[in-house]
Amino acid sequence: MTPTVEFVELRKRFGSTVALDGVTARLEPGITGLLGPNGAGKTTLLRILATVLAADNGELRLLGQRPDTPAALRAIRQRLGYCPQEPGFYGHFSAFDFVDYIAILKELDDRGARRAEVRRVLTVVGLEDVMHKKIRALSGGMRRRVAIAQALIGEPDLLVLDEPTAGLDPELRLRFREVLSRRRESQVVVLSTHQTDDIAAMCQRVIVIDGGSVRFDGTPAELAARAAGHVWVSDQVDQVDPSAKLSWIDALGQRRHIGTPPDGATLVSPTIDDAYLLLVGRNSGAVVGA
Amino acid sequence: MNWHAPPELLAQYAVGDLDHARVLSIEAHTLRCAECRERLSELAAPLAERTWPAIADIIDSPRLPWLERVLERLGISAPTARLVGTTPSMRLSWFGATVLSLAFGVLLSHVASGASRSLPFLVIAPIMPVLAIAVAYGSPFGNTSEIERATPFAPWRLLLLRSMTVLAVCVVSSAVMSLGVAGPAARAWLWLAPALALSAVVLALSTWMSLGRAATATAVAWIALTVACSLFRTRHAEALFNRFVVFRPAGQLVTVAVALVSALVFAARSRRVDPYLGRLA
Repeated sequence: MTPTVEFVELRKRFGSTVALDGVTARLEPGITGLLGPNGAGKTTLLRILATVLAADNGELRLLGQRPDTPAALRAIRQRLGYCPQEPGFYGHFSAFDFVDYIAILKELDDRGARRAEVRRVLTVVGLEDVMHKKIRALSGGMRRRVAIAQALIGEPDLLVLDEPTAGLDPELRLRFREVLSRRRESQVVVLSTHQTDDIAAMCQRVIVIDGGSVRFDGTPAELAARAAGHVWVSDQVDQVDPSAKLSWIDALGQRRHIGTPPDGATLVSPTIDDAYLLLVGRNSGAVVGA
Repeated sequence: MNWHAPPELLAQYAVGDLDHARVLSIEAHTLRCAECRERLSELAAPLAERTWPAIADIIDSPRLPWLERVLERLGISAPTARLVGTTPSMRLSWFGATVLSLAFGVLLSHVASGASRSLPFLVIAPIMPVLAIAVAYGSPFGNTSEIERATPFAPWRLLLLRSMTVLAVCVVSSAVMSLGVAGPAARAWLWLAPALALSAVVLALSTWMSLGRAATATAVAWIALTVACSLFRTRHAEALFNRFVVFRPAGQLVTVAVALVSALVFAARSRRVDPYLGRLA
């Protein structure tokens, strides 16, 4: 049976703040990217999918099971890998010891097999040379990779990654993309990111979340296509088109506008960035980067 | 080549189970026979697959932390030793702080005089395991990290494992230090029942609130109780020591009962240590 993740009308509030306001989706094997501004509800959704936070309302099925009995929860967690935004390490542990510790919690009891697996995941993220250094002596990017490595233990069927590429330099991000692209066919991967190029490079599917609701759900190409006919450029750098929702000066020194173009505007083909900004950009006539 | 090495001989060769003469003849043959070489490499492949990780494990294994080495020598399984070894309050600095606090109680018993000179030690010793359990997860809020919570290992098992270990360490160090307490020898043991009771209360309360809060509430309650005892005079209890009901026989019995009830409460509500299951329950 193909592993899937389904959620219907998930709601979660923290006090008076609504973090998720009825989110529905069904995730198939492959990589799904969550895109959205800070505070949109991405982390809340990922924490619910990782079984560390319970939703207030809504249906949830992880890998075919409802996580509402100890047995089902345990069965799900046995097939789950989770990399939270703020991992919380034991700083006095080495990267190897920490990942080994998590592998024990993941019930890899045979020492030889466990250590081989720990070495494998640390090599995958490129930490083989520093794996015996204490975590508190590692750089931010390296710690991020330790957190990613522990999520990969045992090739889980469901991989939940909260901003895995934050703090990684371009080379490491490339490496991370390669790690994910070599995953098993049947693996469901959900990740959040602020980098639209991550979405374009890795994800078969993108879900845009804003204000706790799904604003878009489809392929990255479909997302970009949403902005077709809504992006135009002009050479008059100092002139902000009043009909633009957002406008900024691009790398070529042209003024790029998104919104409802005036007649005769020079339309250009949209990027995922354009479509994303068109979807969630605040319609305040704000001038970005001017 | 017409003749080929018999498969059973090749198999024996692959696992290193042949006498010297036959080893030589198999090697002489396989050097010239591509077909037998091929079959031999197939036979040896699974062996090589197992051998290399085993070698890597030996040459590339970090030295175990001292605590895990000690625990393993005591017969505790390696995975369990590691789970316990991650407990922040099992580190040397914490152990040092515990011993120093207890030593303070011992010192006071020597400086002071009279029948109640062992009181400071008796009051300090039960708080030690409470503080150690509070930081069993290393977070000031006394919770497991989200990485730990997303694993199949039951949080109550992890909590119990770590609590029992720090409790054992505290009890042993208090027992050793109590030998140095001045005053009647029989009284030097009266901290034990409160130490067990307070630890059990922390665990029981942690099924309602965070471990940090549970430990704070318990420690504050204990201190309040001792202050109240020292202030409250009755006709029968003129002497300071006798005012501390918990250290009198009836009080000790009640304390043991509190420990048992708290342990039962923890057992009954243990699944609530997992915030996720706790919400569902």
